[in-house]
Amino acid sequence: MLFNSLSFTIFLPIVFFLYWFATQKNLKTQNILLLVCSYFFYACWDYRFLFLLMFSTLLDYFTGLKMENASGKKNKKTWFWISVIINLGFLGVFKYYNFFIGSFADGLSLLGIESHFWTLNVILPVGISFYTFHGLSYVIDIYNDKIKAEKNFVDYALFVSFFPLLVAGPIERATHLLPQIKKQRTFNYTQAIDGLRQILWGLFKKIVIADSCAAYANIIFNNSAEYSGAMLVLGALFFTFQIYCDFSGYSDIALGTARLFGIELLRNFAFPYFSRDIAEFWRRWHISLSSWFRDYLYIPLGGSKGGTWMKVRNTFIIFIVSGFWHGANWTFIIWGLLNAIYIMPSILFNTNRNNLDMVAQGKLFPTGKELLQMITTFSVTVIAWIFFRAESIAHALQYIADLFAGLFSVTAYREAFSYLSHEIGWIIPALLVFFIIIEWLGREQQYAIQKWGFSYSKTVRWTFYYAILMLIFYFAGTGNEQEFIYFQF
Amino acid sequence: MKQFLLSFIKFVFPFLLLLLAIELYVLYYPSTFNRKASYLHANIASTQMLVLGSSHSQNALNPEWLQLKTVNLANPSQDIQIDSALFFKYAPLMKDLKMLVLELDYFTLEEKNDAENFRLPWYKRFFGIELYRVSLINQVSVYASSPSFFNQVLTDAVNPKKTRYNINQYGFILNDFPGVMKDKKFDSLALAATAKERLKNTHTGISTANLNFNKSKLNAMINYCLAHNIKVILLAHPMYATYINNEVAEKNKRKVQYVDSLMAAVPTIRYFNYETDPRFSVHDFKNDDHLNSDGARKYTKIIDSLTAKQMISGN
Repeated sequence: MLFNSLSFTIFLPIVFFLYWFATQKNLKTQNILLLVCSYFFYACWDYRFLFLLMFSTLLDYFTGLKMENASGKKNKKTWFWISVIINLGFLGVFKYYNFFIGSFADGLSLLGIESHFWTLNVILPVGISFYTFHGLSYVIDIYNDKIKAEKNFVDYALFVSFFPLLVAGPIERATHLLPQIKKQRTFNYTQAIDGLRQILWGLFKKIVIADSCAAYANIIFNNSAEYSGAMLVLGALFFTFQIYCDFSGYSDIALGTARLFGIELLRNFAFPYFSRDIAEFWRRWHISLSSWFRDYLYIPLGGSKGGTWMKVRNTFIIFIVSGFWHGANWTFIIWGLLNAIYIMPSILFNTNRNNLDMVAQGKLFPTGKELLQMITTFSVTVIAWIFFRAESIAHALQYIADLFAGLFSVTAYREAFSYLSHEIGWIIPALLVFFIIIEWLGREQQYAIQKWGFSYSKTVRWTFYYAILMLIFYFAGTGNEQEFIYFQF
Repeated sequence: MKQFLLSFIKFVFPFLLLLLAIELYVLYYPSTFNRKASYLHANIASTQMLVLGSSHSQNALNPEWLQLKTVNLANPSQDIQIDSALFFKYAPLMKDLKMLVLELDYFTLEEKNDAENFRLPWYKRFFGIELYRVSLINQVSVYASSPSFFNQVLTDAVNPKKTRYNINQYGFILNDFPGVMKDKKFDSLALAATAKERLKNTHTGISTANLNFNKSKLNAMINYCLAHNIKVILLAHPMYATYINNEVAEKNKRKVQYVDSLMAAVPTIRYFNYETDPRFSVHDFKNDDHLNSDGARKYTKIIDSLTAKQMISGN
């Protein structure tokens, strides 16, 4: 069941009404209802993998209890590693087995050894990377005595499987979500309205911007050999907006949906394309994953405490692992590596915490320097996204080579202009400009339209919402709808 | 909560009204489907001739120009499966039915729509036919069956530059909407030069499974007609040369074999092939495989005299 589907449009109000009206606001009943609905939500995609989710939940629930009740450190460690190995084992089998086998066979063939290995013909269980990381953070926190093991199975299972975050995050922490699950929740008008507003903006990002951009990004990337410089720039730009609006749109819908049930999820995006350097970009992009890697990988590896070499090594490790988390393909690893290289100057010169606040805070326009910094950061990010989107490293390298080769060709710009005016039309670029303006104006909020129009009359504000709604409705019917990109991770 | 629900209802209500207006518009704007359904239901008892087939028949035969009281139930992408469903639903109610005109083009025998065809819910809505299970939302809303199609309809409706279809009471489109012939200024050389690219995916599908399925459906309709003294005419409509040149030989051969076997088995059936009829020039076509209004007028008159002759002589 997709957030942008008709079935979800029916599912959500039903769950909402049952949650607030049929449970008599009894916390235990509310949590059971949410868990059942979450499992139903997941089973709509493929009920067979529901058992995997349940198994993973049971595993972490019991190992958590065992760790807490362990008689000695050694015993605790044993249970900890059982959980980690099984969790990562599932992830490895379903997500990485074929990649490792294929890469190993390729390596052998380079040495002149022909080999045939057994590969798995399985589909990737949706959300496995997300719920595995939920579970891992839980057992790691128990192991490090940061939290107590959860005794109530329903509460723990809901922490792992709460439907808004189940398939594509944000990657929650037990320290943040579990206390909310265990606390009596009361309906809050402002929170619910805010939730609906965030859902509206998330749907706009996904359906209007991401899916429209995807249609053209796919055409250009899938036929990149036929296009020259400016067209390839256009393709890369379309993908850059597609991936941001697709994923942050999903996160907005997830956060907004959770708010309808009185639950606040972790913020996942904070206007990353307005970043002034790569370090800032990574503080604003997929925040729940970046902070997960920071807390459970970077810091345990020594973080930045062990001198420059240690910082460099650990930075490369977390970026490469982060790339690999995104998919079993060398393109993702190179994407991670490229970002590690991008961030290196600020790590080496200790400038990675230079830009902690939002750009041009309290001002309408950025300074010339800030604008230049934003354009530079955005441009290098676009180049990195080419690796993320390409089918292979060779494809990405060819794409970039063709892009730069034709970058200064007048004919290439004519071709791109003609493609824009005849194939794409000016509606999509105009909507992109509109989107960027709204995001810029709302960049100091949690999401762009959180406080939009509050100083205007209700009529103006509602007209704006209706316009957004109409665009969503119109674009939902264009037949361009795509699955959320992050479902495959 | 009460305040939230009230605000939500107040916000959503105008939008729901708009959706309702859109639904009513797409349901009642003059379309070939609703016109055909209205005419059929109003004249079912007095119908003398029933035309079935795809858009080839839809654009070729205007009941207005035929002497026999005719209902043309041919629609875009309509396959023999739907023809058969329409026939068996309505033929028993057509007490005066004398003639069934079926399309037997080069492509019809090996085509078959799947359950995803976006027009299938319209057959349920307008003709009460459900070949595959139509989802609840598609039963409730015509718009939901193909939002992209109806978005285009709505966009065209507010665009003064777009051609407005002039549809008569029989559901026949009288005016010529844009097509490749007009685009290429009826230049046969230009049409030939671009034909390969233009027609590379047109009716190229081959399927003996579909052939067997469609043959059984056709045979069932023919048997019904024989049993009820209804004459059957099989027609291959005029096509432009580019379309004929694009035909797959083996597919055509299978069609000819079927027609020959049918003629041998049932001598009273008449098959007329106008595919390469020299009376039709480039100016009679809208595109490679559809007649324009001039062509349709010319062709309907030919079919009119043919059917009249069939009615008198029976041969």
